[in-house]
Amino acid sequence: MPRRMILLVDDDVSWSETVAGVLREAGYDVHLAHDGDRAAALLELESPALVILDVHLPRRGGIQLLKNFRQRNRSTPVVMISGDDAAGSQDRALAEGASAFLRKPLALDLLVKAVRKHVEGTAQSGTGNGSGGEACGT
Amino acid sequence: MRYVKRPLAIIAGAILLLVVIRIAVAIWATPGGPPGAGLRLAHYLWIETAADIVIWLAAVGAIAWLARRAAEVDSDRRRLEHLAHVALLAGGLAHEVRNHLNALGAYISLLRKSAPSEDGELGQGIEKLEHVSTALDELLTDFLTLTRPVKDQLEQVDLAALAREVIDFLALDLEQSHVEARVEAAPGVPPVAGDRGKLRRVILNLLVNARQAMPQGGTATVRLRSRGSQVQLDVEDTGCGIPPEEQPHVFEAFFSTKDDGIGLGLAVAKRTIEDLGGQISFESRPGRGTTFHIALPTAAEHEATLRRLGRPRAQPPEPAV
Repeated sequence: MPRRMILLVDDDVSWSETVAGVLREAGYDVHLAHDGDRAAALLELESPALVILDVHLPRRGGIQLLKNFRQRNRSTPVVMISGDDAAGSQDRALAEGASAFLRKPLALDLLVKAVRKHVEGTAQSGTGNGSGGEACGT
Repeated sequence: MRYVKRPLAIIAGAILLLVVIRIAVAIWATPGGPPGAGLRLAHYLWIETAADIVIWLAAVGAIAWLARRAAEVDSDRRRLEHLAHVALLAGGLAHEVRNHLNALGAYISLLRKSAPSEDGELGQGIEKLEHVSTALDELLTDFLTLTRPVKDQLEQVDLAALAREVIDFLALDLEQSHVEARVEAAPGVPPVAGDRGKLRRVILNLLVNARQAMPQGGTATVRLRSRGSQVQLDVEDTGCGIPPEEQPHVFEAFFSTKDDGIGLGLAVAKRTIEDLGGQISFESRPGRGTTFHIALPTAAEHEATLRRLGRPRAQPPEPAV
């Protein structure tokens, strides 16, 4: 069975590499983007099984990116992460269709748990991501 | 005080006049008539006078209380008119600021295109500008919620399902903070009429506040039950409580005890609930926890109120799923 792909979007490069290492060890294929524009381009090309998305990103904010993504894809789970604790951005993330929220510094075991829960949920429900290309069930 | 002084003076004068008349009658009646009749009349008149005084004093108290309430209502009305005026001005100002902010965003995007990388001084400066611009935009969105009138078309909202949706979204974050969250809904709680997005935000705000009040972990419980023509929603935490000196300010806009808080969450929550004809209050015991109480009219009650007011329903209720 091919490894499921996760797109991790965060502007903190070293932190992203650390998290990517943990997720790869957990059996996932991880692609990285460090700004909103790059993430948007990757989302056009790839079909991740799950997206981990920072709220605050250079070039295009995480909430805006989520909003654009949800206009053409309602099913791929998106876990939002943020360094601040503003209820406003959490509410906007939920309103725009995020699946879960985690504050930084986040417990990596919880992140892995979130990824497992949402990716396996996607696999069980058999829902595609509607953007063509690789289907998440393959 | 002008509401109080005049009725008090009139009533005091009336009592005095009554007492004088009764005493004069008693004195006048005592010398004549059968033996002892005058004295009995005097006794009777004294007792009657005492009873009159008690009744008059009660009337004075009632009038004074009514007069004080009238003065308070008058003061509240003036304060509300002033606040409505300020809100109108502030809302207009916020819209203007947002227009300029949109232009600023466009210029930041142009600048970003000219910056070759994120790492240079220019790139870092642009990134900071982007963060400030986003933060300002979020602040304006919150603020405009306070000044925006309520939607005419409301939808039927199942508060238990909404609370579960919010808890599901926050589940990992709550787990990370060692907070156990649960929904306890009594069977058969009817839907309320509301703006789903705004009500979701109220619940999310209360749960985020609850989690922040429990830095060592604890339990957050959302309880739902029917109470006559209302639905009662309580959000209870086992956290540190709100200090008594801060309690009068909890629902004030821009009041926050958090370093990174703006202080609009509970002000927006109060506005949302009151716009829907509901009430929000709280009780808090420092060291024991806080419970926020929300009461909202059921969707059926909302429809009945609209019918009583002779207003046609804006839209038929959504069919039950």
